[in-house]
Amino acid sequence: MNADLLDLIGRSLQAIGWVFLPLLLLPVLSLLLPNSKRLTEFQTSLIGMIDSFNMAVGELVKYLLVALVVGVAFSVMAVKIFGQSWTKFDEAAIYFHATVILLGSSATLLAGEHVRVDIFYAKLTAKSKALVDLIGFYALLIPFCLVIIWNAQNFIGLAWTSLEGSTEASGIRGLFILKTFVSVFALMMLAQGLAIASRAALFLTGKPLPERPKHIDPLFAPHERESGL
Amino acid sequence: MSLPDYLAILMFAAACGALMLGYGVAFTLGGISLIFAAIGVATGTFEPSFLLAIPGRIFPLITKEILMAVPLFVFMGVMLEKSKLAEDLLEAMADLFGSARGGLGVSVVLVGALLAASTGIVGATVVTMGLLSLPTMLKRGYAPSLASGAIAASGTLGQIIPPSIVLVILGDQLSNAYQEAQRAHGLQTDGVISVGDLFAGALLPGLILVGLYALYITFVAVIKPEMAPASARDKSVHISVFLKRVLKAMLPPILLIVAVLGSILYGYATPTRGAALGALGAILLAGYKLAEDRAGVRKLILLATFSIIAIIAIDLTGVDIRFEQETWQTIERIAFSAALLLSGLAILGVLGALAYLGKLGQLAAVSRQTMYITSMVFVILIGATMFSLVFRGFGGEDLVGALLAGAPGGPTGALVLVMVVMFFLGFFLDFIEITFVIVPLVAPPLLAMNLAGAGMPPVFMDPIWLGILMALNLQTSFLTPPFGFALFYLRGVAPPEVTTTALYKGVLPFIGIQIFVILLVALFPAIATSLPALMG
Repeated sequence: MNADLLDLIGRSLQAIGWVFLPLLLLPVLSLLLPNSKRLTEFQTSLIGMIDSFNMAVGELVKYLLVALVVGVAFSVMAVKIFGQSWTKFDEAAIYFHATVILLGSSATLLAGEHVRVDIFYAKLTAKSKALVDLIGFYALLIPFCLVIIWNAQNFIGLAWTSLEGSTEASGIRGLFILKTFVSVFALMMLAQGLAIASRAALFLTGKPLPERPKHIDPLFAPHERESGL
Repeated sequence: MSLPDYLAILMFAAACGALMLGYGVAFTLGGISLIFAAIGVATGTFEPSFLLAIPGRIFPLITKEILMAVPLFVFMGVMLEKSKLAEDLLEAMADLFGSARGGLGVSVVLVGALLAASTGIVGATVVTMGLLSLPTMLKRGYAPSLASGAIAASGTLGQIIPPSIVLVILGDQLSNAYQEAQRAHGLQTDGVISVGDLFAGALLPGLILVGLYALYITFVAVIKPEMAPASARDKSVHISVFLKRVLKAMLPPILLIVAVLGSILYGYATPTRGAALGALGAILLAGYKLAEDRAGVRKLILLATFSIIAIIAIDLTGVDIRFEQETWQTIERIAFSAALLLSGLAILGVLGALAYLGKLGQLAAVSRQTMYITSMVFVILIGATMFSLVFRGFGGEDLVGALLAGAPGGPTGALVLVMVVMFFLGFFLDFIEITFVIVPLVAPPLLAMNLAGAGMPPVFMDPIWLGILMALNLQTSFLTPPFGFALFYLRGVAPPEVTTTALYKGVLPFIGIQIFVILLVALFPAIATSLPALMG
């Protein structure tokens, strides 16, 4: 692809990123200004938006797992019995697998299914749990995501310059898209972390919490299910 | 020691401490290492360009073919669990063996070994087993200590009995470590090991454990019958009806597991392919089981199942039915047409089962749960990769190597040291985290150590043997009071009449069995290595 055009796209995306970066301060801001009604409303609607977006993506990509099972099983039969194999078909399985991980992780975070060490956590009060999520977001999740996004610029840029595809001639020519998902992954995780930290801040200041999506257990509620099970 | 060394050690300690707070494991590992990377950059002891490698490291991990076995095995396990096949299996076994003393306890061990394994998460397995069988055992008069001990032990047992996802992960990590030992530590061999090798290596030790567990329960039932009483069989049901019901519940899942494992060990399929076939089988089984009042769906699924079996039978006869060949003989044409027709039927049946499971909402629920577990595992892998990258950036790798080389007692001392550290880490970290963080650090130097004395031909540790010892060691750690993982989770779901003391007392004999088997494998490596060697 045209290097100048790509450079321009990259720079614009980076500029957009810088513009939105202050949003990450929202949970802290709401702790400092607990009485700002407007801030609470904005936060509530942002949580709703992020939650439903990530949930919707997760609900969609989870079906790729069914395709993965059927696809790999089918290709085993084809190879073993009829001696037929299609590179595109085999590679598609890897695309499905990687897409589920990269795009489904934020839905997993939303559902609280990323495993925690809960020897002590399980005994904490709901308030302390909210505090753990809030501090963890700033100290651990933000660096985790931002470092991936920042360092992936070259990695993804290079893939786009050559519109990188499979090393096999008859393979899928979409490696550059899959590589882009690495950044999308970090971005979605960052957004989900922000939603959870905002929820924690609302909880800590005693505000009503926005509803959680369907099938998903409430956060910081008294009867919270143990996560990671 | 220099500043980077101190930072590496401090980073490890900080990660352990921060994990205790209970934020997501993956992000704690990644985040802590990045905080230390920042300190390193500020003090001039860490090269920030190291971090540039992160995306290039993440990407191969999630596009690796062998690790695709993880979601496939998880899918199979979740499908079997959510369609209550495990429950049926336990009930049937309890009916069959319950009339013998200690029979229910033995059934729990067998079901734990067969089915509880597939998710590979100690907590989830023990909770499922606890909810499933603890109330039944107590109701039938089992002593709380024996019941809870048997459940905790068999819940962790599934981890080392193949096919289990922790063996997939451990096998992959060990195979990397083995190459690393050859490349960077001067190990003079061109051998490779695979996930299939680890499956084969784990089979015998796993079966020995199952046997000893069952033997112990039977032993207790004989000398102290009040601890494991026999329950009377419902006499109103005719024996043939009873046997038929039991067979119907037991045979399909057992056949499925045996077929999957067999095809992998026999070399007919790679672990990934075997896992896909297993997941497909689980779809058919679940569809059949849930379509109780839909005779049409059931017939379709049965037809598909027989078609698949028939196709494999045709393949095993050795008739050449490859698509692209020049020398078509009459028999080959007939076999080819039959196989093609059967394939069509199989596809039709699978689609039917999928459509029916989709209508019930089962497909969505299973896929969602599989997605959760899969991304949990791989995001931990991403976090652990960041951690090791930064740890290496501080030269922590050389530190570990020096520590192991300087261990008192030579290679054996180093091995014991590693085992002890892993045992204590097992108190608060799950199998997956320990495998991702510890194995890449300690396995390459361990594998490169010369066990023979000076002047003798060099002898090296067998990577399969090392892997099996690690797996057995961690499994024991999960069972050991007061911090054992499995005990925590079982405590959470056990009814109040099971006291914590009873729980601790109950697992002690099983810990004894574990230690016995670890020593057995340590002293007679052939228990772990002979089967993989046989399959070469």
